[in-house]
Amino acid sequence: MKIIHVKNIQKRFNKELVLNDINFDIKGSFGLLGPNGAGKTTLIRILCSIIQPTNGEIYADNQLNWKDSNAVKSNVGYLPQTFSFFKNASVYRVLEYIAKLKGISKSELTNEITQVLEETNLMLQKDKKVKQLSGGMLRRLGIAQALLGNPNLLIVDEPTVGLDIEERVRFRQLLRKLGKDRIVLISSHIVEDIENTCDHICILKEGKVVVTGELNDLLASIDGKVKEVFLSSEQLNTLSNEIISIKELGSEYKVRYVPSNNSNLFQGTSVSPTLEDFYVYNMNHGDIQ
Amino acid sequence: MNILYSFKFLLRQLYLSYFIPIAYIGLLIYASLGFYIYSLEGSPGNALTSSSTVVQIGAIAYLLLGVYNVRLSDKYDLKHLFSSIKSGYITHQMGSLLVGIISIFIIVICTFSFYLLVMWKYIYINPSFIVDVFLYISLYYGLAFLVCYLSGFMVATWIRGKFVFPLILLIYVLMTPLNFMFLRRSNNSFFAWDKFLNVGEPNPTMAFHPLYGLSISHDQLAKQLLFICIPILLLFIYNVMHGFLQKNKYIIITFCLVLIFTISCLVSNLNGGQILLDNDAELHNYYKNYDITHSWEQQPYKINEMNISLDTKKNLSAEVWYSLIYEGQTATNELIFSLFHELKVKDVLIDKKQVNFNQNGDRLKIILNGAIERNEVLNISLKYEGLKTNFYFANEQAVYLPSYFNWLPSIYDKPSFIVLNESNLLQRVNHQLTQNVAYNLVFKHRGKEVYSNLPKTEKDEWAGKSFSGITLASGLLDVYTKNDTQWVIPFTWKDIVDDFPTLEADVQKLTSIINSSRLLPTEVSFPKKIFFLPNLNTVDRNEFQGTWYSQDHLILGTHVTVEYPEEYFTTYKNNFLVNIINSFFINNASLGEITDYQFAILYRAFLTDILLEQINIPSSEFQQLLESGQLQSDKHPIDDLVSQLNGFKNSTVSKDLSSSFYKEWAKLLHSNNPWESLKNLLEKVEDLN
Repeated sequence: MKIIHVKNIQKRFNKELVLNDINFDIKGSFGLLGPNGAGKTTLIRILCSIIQPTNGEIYADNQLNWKDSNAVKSNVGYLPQTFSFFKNASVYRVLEYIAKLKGISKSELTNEITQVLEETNLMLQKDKKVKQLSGGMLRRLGIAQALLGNPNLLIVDEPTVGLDIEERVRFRQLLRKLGKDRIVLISSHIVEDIENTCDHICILKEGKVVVTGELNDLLASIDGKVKEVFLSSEQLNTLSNEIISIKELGSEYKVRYVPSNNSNLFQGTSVSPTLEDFYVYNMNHGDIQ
Repeated sequence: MNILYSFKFLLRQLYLSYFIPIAYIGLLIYASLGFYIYSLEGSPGNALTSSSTVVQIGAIAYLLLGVYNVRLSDKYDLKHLFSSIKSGYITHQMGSLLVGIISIFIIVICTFSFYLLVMWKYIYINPSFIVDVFLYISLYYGLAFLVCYLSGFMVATWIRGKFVFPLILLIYVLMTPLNFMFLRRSNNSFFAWDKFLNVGEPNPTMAFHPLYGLSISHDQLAKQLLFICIPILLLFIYNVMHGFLQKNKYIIITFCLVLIFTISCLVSNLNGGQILLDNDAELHNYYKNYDITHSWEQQPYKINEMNISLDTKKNLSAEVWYSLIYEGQTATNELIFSLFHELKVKDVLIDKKQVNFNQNGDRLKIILNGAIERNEVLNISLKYEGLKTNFYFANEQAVYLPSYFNWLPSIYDKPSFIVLNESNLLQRVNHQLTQNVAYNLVFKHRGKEVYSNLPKTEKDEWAGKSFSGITLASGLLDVYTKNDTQWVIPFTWKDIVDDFPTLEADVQKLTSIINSSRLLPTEVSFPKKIFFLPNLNTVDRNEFQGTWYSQDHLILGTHVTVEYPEEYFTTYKNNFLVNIINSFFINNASLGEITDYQFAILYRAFLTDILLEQINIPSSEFQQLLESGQLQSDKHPIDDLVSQLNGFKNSTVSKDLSSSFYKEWAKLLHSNNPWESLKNLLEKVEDLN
C-alpha cells in the first residue's frame, strides 16, 4: 500500500458536523496537525474503521476500500492517544493478548512478538509489568502492539503526550524508522512531532482541511515571509497579531513573526521557515480548502 | 479460541488483583459454612432455602464484578484499541462475559460438591433430591449470579460515570430475595412484583417444605432466562449501535431469535402455573370475606362411578366423567357442586351436550337444558384447570390433593374453607364424598412417584372403590411399611420410621375403646395407609386441620416447618393422639355436617381428656380450651355451661364412655341449637345422678 485517498469525507454526530468535505492523500510518513477539537481523532477513528463516515470514501491504491471494515482493520495498526493496559500484565502478555485478538496464529506468535519487541527496543522489558514501565516504554509498547500483524498503515494519535524530552526524541526516531516500510500517520497538535517525523502533512481546523502537501513544498511556500527581530517589551505589544514565537533573552525578546503593515516599522531579518511558522501562518492567514 | 484466550488472560488479571479472588473464596466459604451449620441440625432442605444471604452477597458481588470488568477496559481506554482490531472488541467482551460465567459455574460445582459432602448421610436415599439440589443451586445461585453479572456488565457498558452505582443498587434492591421488604404486594394488588423480580429463593421467609421440596419449576427457569436475555439483548443493541457488531443478516437473525426467546420466557412467566409461595394470608383473607350466607346442604345426588383424567404440567388440569343419579324429591333444572374456586371450569357436558354453568367462589351451578326428575341419570363431563394456593399442590414438582378437599366436584354445597368468626381461624371444610364410589384415575404425572389411597393398577392408573374420595400425594416422599401399615412420609423424615409403632399402639387402644363404647355409628380402626405429611401452613394455628380420617387412609398432618422430626411421635404423641381423636369425631364427613365448629371444638376437647385418661395418658385439652378463650362468644354465654361440664367431668359417670350422654352430645354437633341443647342434656344427667 503506497497511497490512501481520502475523498469528500464528512462526519456528523447527531446534528453536529465534525468533519466537512475532507480531501487528501496519505503517503509515507504523514502528519495530521491541528488544534484540539479540529476533528483529528474523529478522522483517525474513521481511518481505523472504528466508526464510519457519514459521507465520502477512502480507498488505497491496491483496491482496499474502507467500506470493507474487516479488511481495513487487518491492514491497520493503531496506537490511541491514551494507551495503557491491565497494570499487572507483563509486556509479553500484553503483546500475546493483542496478537491473539488480531488472529495471529500460534506458530507465528512468538516470532511476531520477538520482532516487534526488537523493533521497539523493548526486549529487555518483556517480563516487566505494565505498572513498572515509564511513559516512554508504555508508548513503545503501544507501538509494538500496533505493529503486530505487520500492518500497512500505522496510525499514531498524539504520540508524545506525557513524555519527557528525551523520550520524545527517542520516540520520534522510532516513528521515523517505522515509516520506511509502511505508511505512518501521526496525528498531533505538537508541531515538533510532525516536523521531525513526517514528510507529508495535512492541517485541520474546525473540521476542515486548511492545507495539505509535502512538508518541504509547504515550507518553501512561505520562504522569505518569516522574519526574526530583537525587541523590547514595549515594542512587543505592537506586533501581537503577527508573532509566531517569542524567546526571552534577558531584557530583550527574540521574536519570529510574519510581517504586516504594523511590523514594517522593524527591520527584521529573514529566516528559514519551520513547520511551526507554517502552522501559525496558516492558522492566521491560511484559507480553509 | 481467541475468546478462550481472552477469558484466560482476563481471569489472570482478576486473579492478580488479589481483592477479587479473596472475595470469591470468601463467598464460597460463606455458602459452604451455611451448609455445614445446617448439616449439624440435619436440615438438608433449609440449608438451601435459608441461604438467601448467600444470594444477596453473591448478587452484589457479581453486579459489581460486571461493572468492574467493563470499567477496567474503560480505565485503560481499550475500547477504541480493541475496536480497531477485527472482532477485537467483541472477542474481549465475550472473554469478559466468560470470566463471569465460568466463575459462576465453579461456584455452582463447588457449593454443590460441598453440600453433598456434608449432607450425604441425609439425602443419599433419594437420588431425585440430589438432582433437585443441583438444579436449585444452578437456578438460584448460578443463574441468579449470572443475571446480576450480565446486568452489571450491561449497565456499565451503556452508562459511563458514577450514575452506574445508584442504578446497580436499584437493580440489587429490586432483584434479590430481600425485595419483599420494599415490594411485598398488598392484598388488593393483582401482581406480585417481589416474586416476579426476585432471582433468588422465591420464599426467603418460608421454611423448607418437606413435601413440596425445593422450588425448581419451569416457570422459575423461564424467569431467570428472561432476566438473562434482557441484558444480552441490550448489549447486542449497544454493540450494533456503536459498530462493534456489523449489521448483517446473521446478526439480525440471532437478535430476532433471542428476542423471540425473551418474549416467550416472559409470556410463559406471566401465564405461569403453580409455584410454591409464602402467601398463606391470601387464602385466609379470601375466605374472611367469603359469602357463606346460604345453607350448606348435601345435594341429593348419588354417584356410583367416577372416571378422572389428570395432568399436572403447570398446575392441575382435570377431566372428570361420572354418572349422577338425581335423588331429589322435586324436579330441578340445575345442579349444585362445590369446586375450589381456583379450579376454573372450562367446559361442562351433560349427556354429551354442552350446558351453561356459573362458578361463584367455590360454588358451581350447572344449568340443565331441561328439568330432571327423581332417579334420573345424567352423564356429566367436566373440564377444569387451575390451582395456585400453597395449601394444595398439583404441578410437575409436587401433588397434594387430599380426599377432604373439593378438587373433585363435591356434592356438598359448601366452601373449601371457612374463617371462624370468633377465633379468626382458617378452617378446612370436609368434602369427603361418603358414598361408595368406584374410581378410575389416569394421572400422567411428569414428576416424582404418586401415592394414593386407591390401589395402583397400571402405570399412571389407579382404580378402586372408596368411601372418602381420592387422596393423591407426590413430592419428596417415600413409602415405608411397618406392621403391615404403609406410611407415606417425606424422605427427610426417614428417621421417624422406628417411631411409627409407638403411635400405632396407642391409636389401637383408643379405637378399641371407641368401638367397644359404640361412641361412633361405625367402627374405626387404624388404617393400613397413612399419609404423614407437612400440610399445616403458618396461618394454621389449629393443628386439627391437618389430620383427616377415612376408612382406607389417614392423613396425619403436621407443620411445614418440621424438617427432621427424630422421635417425633414419642415427643409429641399427645398432640397426634388429640388430632387423631379429632379426625374420628370432627373431621369425619360420614357423621354429618358440623353446624357449629366452636361447639365441635368443645366436644372434641372434653372427649379427648376422657379418652386419653382411659389409656393412662394425661390430657388437659378441656382446660386449655377454656384458657385459650376460643369458646367466648356473645351469642352463647358459656360460663354456666363450663361449670356444668366441670362438674360432670369430675363425676364417675363421665368415665363411662358407653353412656348415652356422649352419643347424645355427638348428635348435637349436627343440630341447629347445640349450646342450649347441651345445657339441657347436662341438666338431665345431673338430675339422674
